[in-house]
Amino acid sequence: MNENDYKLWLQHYGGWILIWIFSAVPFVRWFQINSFASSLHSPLMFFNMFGKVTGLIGLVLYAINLLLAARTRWMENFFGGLNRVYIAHHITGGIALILLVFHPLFLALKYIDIKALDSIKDSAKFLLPRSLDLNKTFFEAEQGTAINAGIVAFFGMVVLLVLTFFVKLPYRFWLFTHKFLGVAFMFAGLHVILISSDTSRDAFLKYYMLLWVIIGLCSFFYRTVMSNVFVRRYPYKVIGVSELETNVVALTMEPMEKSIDYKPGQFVFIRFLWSGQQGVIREAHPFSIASSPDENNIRLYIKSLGDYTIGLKNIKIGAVAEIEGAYGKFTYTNFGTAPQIWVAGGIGVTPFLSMARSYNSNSGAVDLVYSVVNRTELLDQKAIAEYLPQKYPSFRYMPYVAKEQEGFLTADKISQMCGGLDGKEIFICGPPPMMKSLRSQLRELGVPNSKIHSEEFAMT
Amino acid sequence: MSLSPINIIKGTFASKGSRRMSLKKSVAISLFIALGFLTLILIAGLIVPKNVLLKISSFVISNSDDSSTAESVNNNSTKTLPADQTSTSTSTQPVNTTAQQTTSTAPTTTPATKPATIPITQPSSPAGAAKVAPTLTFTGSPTSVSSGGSTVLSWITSANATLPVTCTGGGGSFAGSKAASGSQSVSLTSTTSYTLACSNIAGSSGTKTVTISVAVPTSACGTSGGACTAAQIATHNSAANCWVIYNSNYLILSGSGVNGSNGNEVANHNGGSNRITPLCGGNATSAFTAQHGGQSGVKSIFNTYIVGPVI
Repeated sequence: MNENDYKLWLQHYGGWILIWIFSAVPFVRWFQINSFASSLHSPLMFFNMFGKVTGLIGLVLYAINLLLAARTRWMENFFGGLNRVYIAHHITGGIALILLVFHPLFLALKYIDIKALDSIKDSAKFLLPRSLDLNKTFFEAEQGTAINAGIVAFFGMVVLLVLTFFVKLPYRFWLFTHKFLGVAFMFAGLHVILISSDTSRDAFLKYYMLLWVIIGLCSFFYRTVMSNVFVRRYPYKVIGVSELETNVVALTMEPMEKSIDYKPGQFVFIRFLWSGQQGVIREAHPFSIASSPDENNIRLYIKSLGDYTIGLKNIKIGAVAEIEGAYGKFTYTNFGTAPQIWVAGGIGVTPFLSMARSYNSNSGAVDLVYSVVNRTELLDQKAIAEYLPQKYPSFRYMPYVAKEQEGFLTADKISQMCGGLDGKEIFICGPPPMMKSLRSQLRELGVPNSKIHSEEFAMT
Repeated sequence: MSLSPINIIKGTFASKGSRRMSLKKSVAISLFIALGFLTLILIAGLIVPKNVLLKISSFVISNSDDSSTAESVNNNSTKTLPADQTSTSTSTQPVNTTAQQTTSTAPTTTPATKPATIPITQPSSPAGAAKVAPTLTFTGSPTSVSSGGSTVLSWITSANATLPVTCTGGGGSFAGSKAASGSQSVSLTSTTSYTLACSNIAGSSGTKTVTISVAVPTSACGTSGGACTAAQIATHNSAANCWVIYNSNYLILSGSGVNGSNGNEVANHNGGSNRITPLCGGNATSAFTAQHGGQSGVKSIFNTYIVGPVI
């Protein structure tokens, strides 16, 4: 592994390594203050151990999950791009849910004595909400608060994550419900801070868990509650709209104040503010930038795919949008002058258009393979087919029209067109099935996974 | 081709789809199991009458009389070999010391009962394995006691059952020849290392050591384990600062010094704090025995609150 490979590996897996370390800490600490041997001594202590440990790790993962959803740019460096941050968000959320649903179950099971099964009544009682009796001392009432907060968090989390994992809601409604997971986390945090348990007895565990509760809450407030205050967004105005014949809208936007800073191939989140526009949805959506960072205006090519992108056809000149970003690690500038192959599929060409426009005499050799179904879908032919190849002999353009060829683009065909794949960095952006299929074909031809870079975000 | 941001943010986009599927499946299975059991506990606990539950447990007990709970390990010396040895031997409990010790101290084992012990003594070796030295598991519980306290040393060997195993113990009152498996209670006044080595014709398990530490009690009565008088305990008589006497020990149930597995037991008590508060500062032995005497689980929780002796 050379230095760049090593850096890339760390960028891809560093975040995951940290996640496992952070969630292992309460696990290790718990066994330091509680004897593992005694946990195996009886079913009671065994369930007690699982109940406590699942709760602690689950909460840390829940907090990490919210941190990952904060969509901060520095986080990309730990995962290799925002799309991978969201994958980590999704996976940590799923694991946290699994651990946290078992947390009350194990703690309830510890009360059951198989020899006196009426003890199941103790278990059931343990699971029920506590009444908050005002005549009780503060400490007793606090335990009631802690347990009731835990119960609220439990049901909030289960309902909201069932909506995420198993119910297909329209994006807007889903996003609305998903935000309440931060509220469920607030209750979970209250539960762990107030509960009289290992976290109240052991100072290290107490402050460690408190730290994660604070991190989770800060992330929630940063992204969801107070994003208008904390998240930097740049206002842009639409100065050009043209509908191309292939169902693609080209938007040109000009900065109203400062322009955003981005690398060729990155994407931004755009939110249109002009609510008078028919059919334009107001949530922020990710789009690849097709223009070069050297230009003052930014240009987007948007293909009508979902409700949102179809609505964008109604955008008029003068519409105002807030732009947040830029995000993404899909940029050729990270690889110096190494020979590269850019494989574009359909509208997935947009990051390559940005990269091509910033191509200069210092860049390494590039073969752009642009695959479409019909010839009419080819975008920006003037720049990438005429201007660039003429000016820079090291930039080669190879359109591939599937209708005029024998079927779809394959790794073999790419290899033939580009004169081999050895030692080349391969960038792919296109429809997900195409990216998946090409990646596995390239692997079969012996291209290492670390040399294949793909961008899942660029497709809207 | 229908990729929308919802797919991306929800993580259901195509790349690496198989892993995403399995996460979804794991979540579904976990939810099903956990919520199912929670519902079951609530239904059983709130709806099923107490006598029905007790009937079920008496049915369960009669079918697994010597399953290895902490209690059966402690009391094994008083138990006798169950009449139906074959049915108990199929138990997959890893530490079936009761059946084990009884068998090993009964040298007149008949061929009929002999094969029945194989699944216990040889849980990890293939049946009919050749001469193998025994492996020995040797544990003490608890590993830390107060001066004059006692701990239970338990050991179990696994080896080919046809080869007789002999064990030799060392350290304090544990010195001497031992059976192939068993447990023994030892009392100690200073930190002691107990050793045990078992061997058969094929070789030795090597010497295993268990060290039981004795916490030196501070001379003064307090939260760190010193001996207290009943009068000293009686001053801790509020819900927020509750000490009780149980047999010859005192326990701290709330306030400074709580170290039991259930935290502040006055507040966390399932039966409500008003059942405990009146006992604070006094002797809770009879009240506890009357309420929880038959519940080994509750007893184990209770034992974790023991702080020191009463003088």
